[in-house]
Amino acid sequence: MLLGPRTLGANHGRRAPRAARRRGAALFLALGLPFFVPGHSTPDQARHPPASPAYDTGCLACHVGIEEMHPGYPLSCTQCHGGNGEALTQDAAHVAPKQTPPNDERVLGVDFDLPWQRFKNPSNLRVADVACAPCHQSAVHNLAKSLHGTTTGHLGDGFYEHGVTRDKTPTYSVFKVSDDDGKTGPHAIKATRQVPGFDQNAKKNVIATHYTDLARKACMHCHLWSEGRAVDGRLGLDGDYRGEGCAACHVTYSDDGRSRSRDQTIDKLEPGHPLVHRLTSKIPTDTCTRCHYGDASIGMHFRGMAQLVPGMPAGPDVDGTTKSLQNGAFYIKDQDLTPPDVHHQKGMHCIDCHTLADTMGDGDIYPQMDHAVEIECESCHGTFDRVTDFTTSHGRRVPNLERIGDGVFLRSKVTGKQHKVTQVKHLLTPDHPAYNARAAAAMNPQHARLECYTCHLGFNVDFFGFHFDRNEQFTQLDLLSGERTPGRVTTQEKVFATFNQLRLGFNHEGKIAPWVVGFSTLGSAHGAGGEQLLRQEAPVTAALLSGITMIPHQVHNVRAEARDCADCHRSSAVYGRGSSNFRLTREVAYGVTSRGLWTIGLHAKTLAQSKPIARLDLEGMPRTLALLTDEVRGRATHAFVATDAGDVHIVSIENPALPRLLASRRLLHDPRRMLVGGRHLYVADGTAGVAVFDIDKPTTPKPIATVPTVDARALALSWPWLLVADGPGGLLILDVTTAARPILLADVDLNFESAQPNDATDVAILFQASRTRKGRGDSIERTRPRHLAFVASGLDGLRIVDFTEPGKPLVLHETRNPQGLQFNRADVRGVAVNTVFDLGTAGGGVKSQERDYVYVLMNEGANEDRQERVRVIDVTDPLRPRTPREPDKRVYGASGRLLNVRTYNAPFLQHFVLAASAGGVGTCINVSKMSATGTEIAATIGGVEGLRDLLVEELALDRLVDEEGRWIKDVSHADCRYLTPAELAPVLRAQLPAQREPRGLRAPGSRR
Amino acid sequence: MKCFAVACLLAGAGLRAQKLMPEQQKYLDSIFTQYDRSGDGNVARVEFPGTDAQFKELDPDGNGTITQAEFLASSTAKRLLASFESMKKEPRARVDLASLAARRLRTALRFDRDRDGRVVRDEWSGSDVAFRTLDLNADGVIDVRDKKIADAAAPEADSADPLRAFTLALPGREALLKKLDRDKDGALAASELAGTDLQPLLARFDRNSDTKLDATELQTVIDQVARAVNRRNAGTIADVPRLPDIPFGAWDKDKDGRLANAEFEERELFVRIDADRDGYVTKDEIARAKRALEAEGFLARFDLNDDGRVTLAEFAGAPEVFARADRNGDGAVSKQDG
Repeated sequence: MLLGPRTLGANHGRRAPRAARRRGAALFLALGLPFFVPGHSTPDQARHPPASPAYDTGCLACHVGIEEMHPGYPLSCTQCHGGNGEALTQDAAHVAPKQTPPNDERVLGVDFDLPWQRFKNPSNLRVADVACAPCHQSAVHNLAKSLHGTTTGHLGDGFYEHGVTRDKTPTYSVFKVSDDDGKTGPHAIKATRQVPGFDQNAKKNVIATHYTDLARKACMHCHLWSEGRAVDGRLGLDGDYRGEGCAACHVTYSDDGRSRSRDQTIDKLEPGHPLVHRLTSKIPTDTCTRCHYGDASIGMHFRGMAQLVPGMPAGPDVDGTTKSLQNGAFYIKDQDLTPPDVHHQKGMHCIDCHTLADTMGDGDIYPQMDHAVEIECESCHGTFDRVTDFTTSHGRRVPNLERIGDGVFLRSKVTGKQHKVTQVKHLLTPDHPAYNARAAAAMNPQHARLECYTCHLGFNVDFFGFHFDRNEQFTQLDLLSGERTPGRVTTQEKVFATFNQLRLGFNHEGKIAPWVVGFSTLGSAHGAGGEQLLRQEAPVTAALLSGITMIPHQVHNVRAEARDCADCHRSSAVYGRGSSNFRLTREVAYGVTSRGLWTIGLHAKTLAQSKPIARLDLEGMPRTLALLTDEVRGRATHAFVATDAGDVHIVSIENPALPRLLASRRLLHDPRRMLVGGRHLYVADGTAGVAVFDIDKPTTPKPIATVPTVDARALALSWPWLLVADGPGGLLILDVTTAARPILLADVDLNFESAQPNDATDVAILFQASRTRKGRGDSIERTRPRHLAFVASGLDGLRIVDFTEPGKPLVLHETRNPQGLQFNRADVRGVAVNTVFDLGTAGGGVKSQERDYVYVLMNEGANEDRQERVRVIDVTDPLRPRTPREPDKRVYGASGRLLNVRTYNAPFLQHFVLAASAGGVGTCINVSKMSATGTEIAATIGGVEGLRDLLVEELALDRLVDEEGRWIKDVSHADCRYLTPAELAPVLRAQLPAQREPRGLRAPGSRR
Repeated sequence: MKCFAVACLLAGAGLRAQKLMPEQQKYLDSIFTQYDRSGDGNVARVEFPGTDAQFKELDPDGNGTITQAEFLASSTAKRLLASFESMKKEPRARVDLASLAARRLRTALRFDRDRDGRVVRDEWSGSDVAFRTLDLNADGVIDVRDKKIADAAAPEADSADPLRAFTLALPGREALLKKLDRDKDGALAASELAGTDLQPLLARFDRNSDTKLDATELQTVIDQVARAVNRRNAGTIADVPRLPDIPFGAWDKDKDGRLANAEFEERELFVRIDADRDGYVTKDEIARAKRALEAEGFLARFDLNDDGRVTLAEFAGAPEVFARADRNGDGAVSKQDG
């Protein structure tokens, strides 16, 4: 019986038709024993094939030396391939295609020329019922319904995130599949539908419309119904060559796709052939990674690799990258940046953990991986209070795990090596030899709600957003229909890339787990005439939330070394409340002059071409502004403009070309800076303190609190901590968990060297997650995670304050280099901070690394030649700040505001620092490649005279949920969610073990 | 050369004709000379490294060369001069805590949460330093005595604010125009303002950049001065009259849910509260009367510009108190909130 869209999985448990029964009976007589190793795939005992194969002498007359494909139990050629085994000519022996098969990578239909498909690859899922199912019936039928066969999860995520489907349970697959065996387990679905095609009549100004063209043109390779993109004979796809159907896993291919078979008829130079003609059940990791190499992909991280960041130099001469092309690309392979998973390091392979049901399904159609994968860390390592029970989460026995003496051992299915499996309970038992006091302190009942790999996560490669572009000027092959239709779809990854920042949330089991980006895209589209229909449009789900989602993920980069407590306990950004990084600059900047509000169009590709769009005259000498943003779409909707006179003008900027004054309120005294955090407006109101307003109704800001200060000049928010640059008062740290009741946690004396007043003028915040680096042997070390405030301290230079413990901040200050951040008689007026994946040099002389940079606006120099400059300081190690090459650029007439401008011109993310200036919009300095080239003036933007303050519209890609717990970004997986404020508060306030600062560091901390 | 190129990129509006100081002239000349490599007194396009658009801006007559006059008249020269001035400056002086005290004390009483006219440490949610530097007499409270000390000790504290020059209310707009508007054009030009207290305000209030204060701009000056003066004399929330607490239950002897004239022990208030004049006071009427009195008090005490509305900036009390008084949430307390 052949598998087809109407019958996939449908005959399981039913009586086969007469012809099939006859064929089964014949095979039953021909074959007798299973060929797979015990415990991995067991043939159905009731349908044993014939006891002895009839060798096809005609075939072997030509295919001299060919290996036995099924060594455990030999089969004849024609038993699998069909054709005529006795014939003496190729034409008579082989099965010819009924029509010329297409020479492209399309996915052939389920009933396309089945005799020919069987002849070509008997394990093709379309015909595996004939060749494989007689012995391995359940495996074949389960496989068609498994995620490897359906790709349901991947497809469903994208369609939900773009608002195409309303249900979080995915139901699309490559071909429609139904589960008619009468048994449907928990979380399984009854049937799937084939992924739909593009609707030419749909609205073209909606991103969802264009997205529907993506799946069928770009996503149909990643399953067992296809050989992937490396179709027969296609050159240059080393690492991509694989079979389809059962052979995708059970037949080994070399990287170059060339055969090493003794079969003399095989062209040894042509790629696309199996390594040898032999099935195997010892499937190595290298076979899995024929497919699992995309980013956020387990295959890369498991091996200590990651995709390159766009623009990153790589190749034989570049340290930290692979030396040869795989899948048409080089990869990062850096023991410091991307250490491998400890299981890989110990010589284990994917299938040593993953069970038969994990990989080939258990007969149910699971919509997502969450429920399909049964193996858990606990299956082998036990839990805090019990040793392993040798079963998976689905209650099946782990076949290769056994107790030997007092120990638990796992036998590798690939190498046969026995690995001793540490039992967690033993680490926590004081009288056990394996007792580990640090582990015992960490593995407390509160942490029982965490997945093991939350703390034991090595690096966490993440990238906030794909980008796809659909261009109707071109056509592209629809991989399912086989037709070329209008619309060429290209995808780019890594709008932002990070290797250390962590995001956590609840997974489907109710446990806290790492989250990474889902199939989130920013989409652009061009019409048939080349006109831009959409530009980097953010998707919106049916729930009217952002479709740039994140989902729980087993990163497959488990390390024995746990992360530092502060990595998770001292930053709300870890729980989706957003950070200063990963903010993508949109198309509009907003500035104020003494006359009013300006909107300025930013030209992302050529910033110098940016120009003013509109001006709205406002009363009372506008001084500063804040933007209220529609965080779902990343578009500013309201501007709050504060004036010298203390007025706040509320301006609608939903149409940047027509800003409209909605209301004016006299609310302030001496406004210096403002910022919007969620539904609150925070104002540094000079000598009148810090004022807090509820802006739930933006036109009527409601004052809810004021904190007295000395001279509040600037603010920075890393919720729940609001930092205030308080002029002579130093740095204040406020807890604004409840915005109406700010609590002063600390006030920091920044000028501890003298009795003179402080001069805190501006402040910026960075949470510096721990970074990995290679330790001794196979171990890794981590840098200390820190929550850092960078304070422009005027005449005192730049100060770095570690407020990881917000009630006990430390001023990081090297006593050996007291003048290090004070520069040459500098007056530091502005500061901004950014994390950049700093691209190295093409020759490999300068290594690409993720680095933290602080940008400083200062006035420095001798009296006769004092200059305004923007200087870049590398604070990757905040205890030893250093200046990179070409660290500074001169600017003119700066207003004091420094901004990060991050533009995405696919595939590159470019980082600029924009010094707003009174003589124009400002000077843009390119800081994308600090290590390689240093700073470069990228553009000066003019057209506005007398600018007093400036902000840019931003899409905060890592802001998933607001401070009140309202979701901004959707989650495409049911049962997965973010932490609520009530759950988050105790996490951020948890008392952590004290850390000791290195010697030589003077840390006066808070005056309180 | 490099400085000049960068400055050219920052070109903005044109420089108005003005007399340059010799050192300024020398500075601009030196830059032009650096740029004029051929020494012919003109900068040709080939000598100019910027873009065509930037060159065009510096060459308004479009003859293909930038003359020294064109350069001096350009906005680039203006910006270079501004930069030159800033270069000459000493590092700015460090702000002294004491110098801020007078300004800070204007709003400090908003933290008087119990409305007793003084702020004690428990009412102060800010830092110790911030409190200590306002408690100038070190008696543990911030009150009007500290304000007097601050005003006396640092009379120059507001010297940077040109409005401080006007310690008395200005005469009306018409009176000013009559006195100063010599050319009778309805506006005060720079020459007409020369030597008056209004001269330093010209740059700040000349919104249309016509180097004159027209009638509207002049009115803004007067309003702001009035506001600044009034604010100095502003009271506190403690000064707002309030309706005394009325023990409704105790007075309502017949338990009919309303107070008759005879039951109302504060007779003089009765007429004020009995809004519908039915001879009885209900709980609702008391609440309404409380709100009305509070609104009246707000207006009497804090309406610094007499526009019938008290904004938060005019209000000297805690924002939470203001938010409660601003019942209709329009950002101001007025009779509508009563």
